[in-house]
Amino acid sequence: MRDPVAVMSMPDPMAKWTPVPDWRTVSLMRDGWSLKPVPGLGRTIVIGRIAEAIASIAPDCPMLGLWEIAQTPAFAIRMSRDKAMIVSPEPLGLTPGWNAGGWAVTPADSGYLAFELAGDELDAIIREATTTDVWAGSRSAAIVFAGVACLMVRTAPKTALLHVETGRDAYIWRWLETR
Amino acid sequence: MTARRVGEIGERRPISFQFDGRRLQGLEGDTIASALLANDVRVIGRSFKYHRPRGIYGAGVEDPNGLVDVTLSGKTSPNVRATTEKLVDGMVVRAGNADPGAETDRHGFIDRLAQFIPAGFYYKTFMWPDWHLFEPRIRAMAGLGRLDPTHEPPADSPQINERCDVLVIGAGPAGLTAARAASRAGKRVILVDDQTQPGGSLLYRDVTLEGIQGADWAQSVGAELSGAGQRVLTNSTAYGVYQHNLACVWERRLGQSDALWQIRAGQIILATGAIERPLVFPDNDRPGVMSAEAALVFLKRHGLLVGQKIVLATNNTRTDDGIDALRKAGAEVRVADRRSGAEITGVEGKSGVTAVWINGERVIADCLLVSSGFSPTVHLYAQATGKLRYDEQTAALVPAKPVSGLAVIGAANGTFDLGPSLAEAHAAGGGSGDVPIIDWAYAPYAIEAVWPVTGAKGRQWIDFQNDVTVKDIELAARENYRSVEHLKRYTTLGMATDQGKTSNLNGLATMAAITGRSIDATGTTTYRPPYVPVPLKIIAGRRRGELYNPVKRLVLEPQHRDAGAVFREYGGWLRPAYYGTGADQREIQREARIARETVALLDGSPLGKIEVFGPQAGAVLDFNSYNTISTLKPGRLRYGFMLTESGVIYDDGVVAKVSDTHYIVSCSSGHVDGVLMPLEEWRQDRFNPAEVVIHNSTPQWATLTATGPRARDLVARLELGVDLDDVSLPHMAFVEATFAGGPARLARVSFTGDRSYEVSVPSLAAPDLFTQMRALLAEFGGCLLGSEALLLLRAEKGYIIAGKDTDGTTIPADLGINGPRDKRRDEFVGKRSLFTENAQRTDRQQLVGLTVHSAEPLPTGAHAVELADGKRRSIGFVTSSYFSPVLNRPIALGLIERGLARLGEDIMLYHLGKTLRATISDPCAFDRDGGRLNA
Repeated sequence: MRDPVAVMSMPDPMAKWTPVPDWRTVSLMRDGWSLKPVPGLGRTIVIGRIAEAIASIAPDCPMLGLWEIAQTPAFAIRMSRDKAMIVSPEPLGLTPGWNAGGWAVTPADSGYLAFELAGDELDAIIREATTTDVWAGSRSAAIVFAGVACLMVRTAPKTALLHVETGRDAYIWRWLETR
Repeated sequence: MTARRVGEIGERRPISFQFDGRRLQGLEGDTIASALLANDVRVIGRSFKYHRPRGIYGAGVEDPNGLVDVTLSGKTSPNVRATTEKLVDGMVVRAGNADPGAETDRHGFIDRLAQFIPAGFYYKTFMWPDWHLFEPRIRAMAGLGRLDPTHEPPADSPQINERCDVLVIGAGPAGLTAARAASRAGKRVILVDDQTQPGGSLLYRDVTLEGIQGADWAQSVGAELSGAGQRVLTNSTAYGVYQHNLACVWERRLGQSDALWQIRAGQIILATGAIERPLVFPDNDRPGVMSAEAALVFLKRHGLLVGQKIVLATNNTRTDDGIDALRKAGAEVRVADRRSGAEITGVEGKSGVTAVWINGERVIADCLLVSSGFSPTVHLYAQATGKLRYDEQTAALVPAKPVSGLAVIGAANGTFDLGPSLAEAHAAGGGSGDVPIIDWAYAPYAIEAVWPVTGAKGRQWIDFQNDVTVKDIELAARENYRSVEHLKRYTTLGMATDQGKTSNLNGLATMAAITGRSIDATGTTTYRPPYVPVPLKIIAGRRRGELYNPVKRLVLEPQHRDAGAVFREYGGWLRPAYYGTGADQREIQREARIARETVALLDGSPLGKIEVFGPQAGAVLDFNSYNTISTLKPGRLRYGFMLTESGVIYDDGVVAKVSDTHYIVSCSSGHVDGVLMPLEEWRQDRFNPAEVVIHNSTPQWATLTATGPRARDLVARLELGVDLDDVSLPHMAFVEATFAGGPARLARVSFTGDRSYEVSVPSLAAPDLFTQMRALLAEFGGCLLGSEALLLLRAEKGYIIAGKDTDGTTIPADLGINGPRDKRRDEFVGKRSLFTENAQRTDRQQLVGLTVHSAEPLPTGAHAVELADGKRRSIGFVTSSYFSPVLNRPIALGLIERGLARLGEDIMLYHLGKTLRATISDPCAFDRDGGRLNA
């Protein structure tokens, strides 16, 4: 006789989902790597003629693709063919709207949370998190990290800056926390 | 069979284990199979169908018999392959498919009924009077292994993505040679092998390369590769080759969770060797009949002599060194070589070989080793769409044509002699450096093909694991299942967990002979991954629990938890269902009642906020909406639908017009991606992407909604810097505001039918806003509102939830909303579908209210039925159903055939055996004139 397979009951959401961490205080230190939120950054999305948009909003701001290293306090992250995110030390406070020059601007300071993922184990973590060959680079910094669309650049050779949409941040944190 | 250890045990630690209740001892480094053999355990399981006693046949993944259930630390894993599973202290091993044990299986009598249950018997028997009578018993007896429902392995297997220039699969002499050549040519190399150390056949055959004994040479090459920074993965099985040279490798890791490697290689080199084929003769499945190569592996790698009086039946030269080795170890070996006419005609010994018949002569023996040649392990090549051809000289199926990006070398390519194999390997690896020099190796390969003979007496076994005999193949041919695909499925040849590694070629050669075709013409079935059974835990990786299909989280989740929220999942978000510690229905009723009486606060942050910018923004939205959007005035909102191309309501929502070049689409929280994608697609395909751009701003904004008669009073206390009178801010209008010095947007739009205000602020400002609004609730006797009460309030008003009160067929006309269909002249998505015959049927299911005359709400999902010829026919179903605290009675919505023409009609409903009654009514059960929107 075969043993009966146990019937799985619906998991209780209260027990299943670990509470969202307090981003103001939380950090992770593990063997060879660390993780912490980076609060306070300004994020402004420009869409359309992004070169003109950046020239207008943040002149001389370099545009970074995947895995490139930011060497200035303000930089733009290429999201797609016609979309970029200007990252600044503080919010720029722009009003969302369309510019006659052929581009739109809208703030995203609250729309993302940035994580700094650093250490010797960075490459090994990246290998587990994404199928993208980040070392080959790409014009777009958009990748799928642990199954979630994110933007990834670096601020140092072994320090990644990962922008995750608000709402998905707790999952990314949990994925790394339970690694 | 009198298997015993030979040679020195050295420092190998003893390991205690159990088999079928017997306490036994093995040694460190043993597999379960070698430990059983060393304890002279002859019968290790029972065959799938006939429950015949079976013993260990092979030494690796090819073994068809040694499937056991293993309990370790209280957890049981079924169908573990004894020949590949390392023995661990404390293992409790049970024979496969045997009860109570392998020696004394109570179902062994089934073999006596074999003539009544040949291949395919289940297509012809157990039909009368009703096959359902037999099905439970057959299901209970079918299958292999026992599932332990308490054994849930942790979801901690990492999945590692790696890239390389050259992936070499197989670390035998050919694979090592190719890997070394590629490494010396400066390539990034990954070498994979399923054994504990590189070497392959060098670990058990006498070979000397470059002056070093084979096993030591293998170690030195492995060390060179590691020293050069290449990756050498042992205990790793490459189980699948997929498109674009993606190879999946299952790595078994000691002391930690196994890993899945997903390797993308510029070039894959397959050095996967070959598997020895059995000779086929009557009773060739007896315990003690083993692969000749397996005996050599057990001897050389485990110090185990599988028998004392051995008969070795062969048709090729590759068994020569095995014969010598067995004799040197002290066994008497009688060789029966088919090339000299010696033929095995029978085997005696139900529970272990006791005698072998050779050409009519009875020979006392305790072990019969067989070799009918070698079948190249071409599985990964065939997975990569490689085609095979039959090679007469080697009597094997070998790769026929090259596959781009993939090379097959050595025995896997049918190159069985070491010299040519190494040359081939060296070239495949790029040819850098010298081909390894062979100082000593086995004799060149020569074989005289021997295939199963039909019409013989006695049962000749082709597929041991699925109990398929030559007679079964003859039966399949007689019944016209002659193609190799039908042969496979009718007889189940090759469909067991060993996937026919030792049986496929014998089987198709038999069918070829029966049907008078060549082996090439008979062909093979399709090779599919995985090459070996792979635990689902490896494939699933860490995707379990909260890492599987994760929900989105509210910025205000900590605040909701503090407020006593009970969370549930809604549309991909974790949201408060209700607040409080009481019974759920009591809390939900409380919240709904207070919302109608005074004011309630809802976190509406997940609602989509898709911004559309540019001169063509209005046009894009008009095209993607059932309602015209572009005619809105700035500062106004309009409710409407997004349709699919079939005219079906995909989503409903509100669009806000900020200016002629800026709109905000507010869609259902669970449909944001589904709304964004078609907008973007049409933007790129039909409109000018330079004149319209789209961005999902949902995460940027948090939205808190105050709803109820006192909502305006509460919002006024927030000091948002705007006038709240109904002229300055009428229903379906919005204004830009400020909150705590930052931007805010205030909109009058109602989910509940009551006066409502949505306050949207950047998510980072949400905690402060929530704190203020929640504190104000107390002044008004208000409360926090969860999603459950919200759904109730909407249902009272007949407001739909797309996907709950509509289904995959509901079009706007089914809700009675026909204006845009009738009046719009411009094209929009789904328009044409609204005029099809199907869309204009008069018996469509339409949204109506359902009034019940009892105190109990209708069950959601209950079917409305009518009787036709004494049978029930569904005419629709209940989509939403609640007890309304403000009406003090149940309310419900449903999709009912011709519902809008049947107001006032009594209908019957049926649910789980009970009949219920309701009256079709207007969907809006409360405040039908809508006065509460401005109350």
